[in-house]
Amino acid sequence: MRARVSPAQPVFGASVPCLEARDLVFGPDRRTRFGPVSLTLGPGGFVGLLGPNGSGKSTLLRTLAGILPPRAGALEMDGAPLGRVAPGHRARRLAYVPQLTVPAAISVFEAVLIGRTPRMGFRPAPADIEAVDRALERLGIGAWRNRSLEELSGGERQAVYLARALAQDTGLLLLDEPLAGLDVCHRIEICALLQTLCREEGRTVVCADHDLSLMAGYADRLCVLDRGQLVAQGAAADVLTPALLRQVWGVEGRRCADTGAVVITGLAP
Amino acid sequence: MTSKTLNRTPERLRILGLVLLALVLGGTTLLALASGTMSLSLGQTVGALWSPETSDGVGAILWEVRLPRVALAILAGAGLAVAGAGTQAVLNNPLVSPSVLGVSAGAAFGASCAIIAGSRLQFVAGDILIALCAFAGALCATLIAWLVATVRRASRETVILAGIAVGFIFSGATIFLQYLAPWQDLRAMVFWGVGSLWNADGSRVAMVSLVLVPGAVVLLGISQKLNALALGDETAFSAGINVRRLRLVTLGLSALISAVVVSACGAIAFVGLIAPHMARLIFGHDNRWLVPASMLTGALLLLGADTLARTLFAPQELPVGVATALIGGPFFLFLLLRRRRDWWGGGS
Repeated sequence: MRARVSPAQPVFGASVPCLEARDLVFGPDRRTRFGPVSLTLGPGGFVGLLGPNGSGKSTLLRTLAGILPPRAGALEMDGAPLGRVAPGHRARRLAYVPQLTVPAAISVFEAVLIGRTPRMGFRPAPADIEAVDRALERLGIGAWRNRSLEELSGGERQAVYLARALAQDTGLLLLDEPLAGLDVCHRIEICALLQTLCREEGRTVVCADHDLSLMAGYADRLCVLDRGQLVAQGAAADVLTPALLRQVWGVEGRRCADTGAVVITGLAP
Repeated sequence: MTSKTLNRTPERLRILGLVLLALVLGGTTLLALASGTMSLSLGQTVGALWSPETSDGVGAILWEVRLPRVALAILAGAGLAVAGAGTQAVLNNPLVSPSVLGVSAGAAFGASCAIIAGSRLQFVAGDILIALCAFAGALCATLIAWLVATVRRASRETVILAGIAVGFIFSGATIFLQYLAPWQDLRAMVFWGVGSLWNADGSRVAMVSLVLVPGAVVLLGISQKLNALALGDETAFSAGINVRRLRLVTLGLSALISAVVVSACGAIAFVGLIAPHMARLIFGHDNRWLVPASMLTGALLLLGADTLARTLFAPQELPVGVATALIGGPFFLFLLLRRRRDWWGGGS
């Protein structure tokens, strides 16, 4: 698995959707409510979504993806309420990768081909097969094409799920901790790939993760959730202050100005 | 399980596989038509099928007795199998079949009601009345299970658990009816419950094909969408699938098809569960291939089992449900032993 970046890729530009949340209240069910949150995503940009466990990152991503209905407030894709957008149209513009991956009995190729569902008919066209192979190549997992998903480890499966979303060829990618099960080398490779998707192809990527340094290094903008509230957003230098680290995560730490890495020195007193 | 070698089977090979399977089914059909109490040669069989009037009695036996039975075996096997394939795909669980959705238990309850009401009201419930009541019972049970499941957003686990629970309730009610029933009714109920094809006739063949043909066409049409469910509901949603509607349509069609089969021939065990597995061994997990392949496999399985059931101990006849269970059980154990991973792992 070695992510590769090749220059000749579709450039999104005009087809990148704008997702706008205004006073969005979100929750996994009717009783639990997070927010309200106001947030504009896109066009373009790598957004890192940070926050402690249970702060609502996954719930926010699932709401933004249209899986959970907004509990209150407005959530619009290109000016239309996301819930009213036809599923096929939405799927050609927005792809979501869940945090939990399951081992299915299908091959890696078949799994990634699922990403072509909104664009293909009964039979995959050559363009669909090409898109699948391109997605596998970009993640450096072309060799796994015919392997069963059951044979893969959890981290390898995550790469396949990400390839599935890439094959969907959408301008907006919502990723729920796609780096969680990966080793440090692959984490960096995937972050670099996500950065390329944004910088060279104009796509919008929202990526939830716990690695503050990595997100600070690669994301254009950070959003920090704490107990369902969006407590800070902006560039890493402005967001990841010692005060915020103490307030949100309860740790002492600081961001090195020269390397950009976030150093955690211990629990806050 | 099969992915190492078979998921990359080229399209041409899969088509060849389907053609071969169809040819084997055709051959088995001829064999089944020829065998019986009065054994015929293949030449005689074909000749009598071609011109039923000429040969003495043979044409009548073929056209009125054996052909309906063979046709019903093929249709019922194909129907149970395609319903099983659809249910397994849409619930992402290889252990389910439409009987898990309460279809069989509901049908048995409906049939028992018809039988007992018939004898209480001083008439013998006709076969078709029993079949209609079984059909209504099966749909009723499935509907209740679905309504209960939708309260919990119709996730795959709730659909399965609600179906099992509703099945238990209907089975309990059936046993209660059997407890009250006089012995001749009890005999009819138990006999109905095992499943058999001995009472095959033109009207049953018509009834099953009327539901099966359009149902199978729709299932084949949505089979590409069923593939998208393999990585979980949220991934399918992200790929633009209306998961809830797909689940409703697929489960509804599967329930309809298996309900009409069960009401025509009783609860035939195992075909809906294992025919899709047999097809998967050859054709892999792509539902576009699995739907037609399961139908051919199921037809072959039930036709073979029924032919054995009526010829092995001739003139005595084994209920075909016994034969399918005796073939299906060991095959399922074989699948269980050759599989590396645990089945529930791929489920949720």
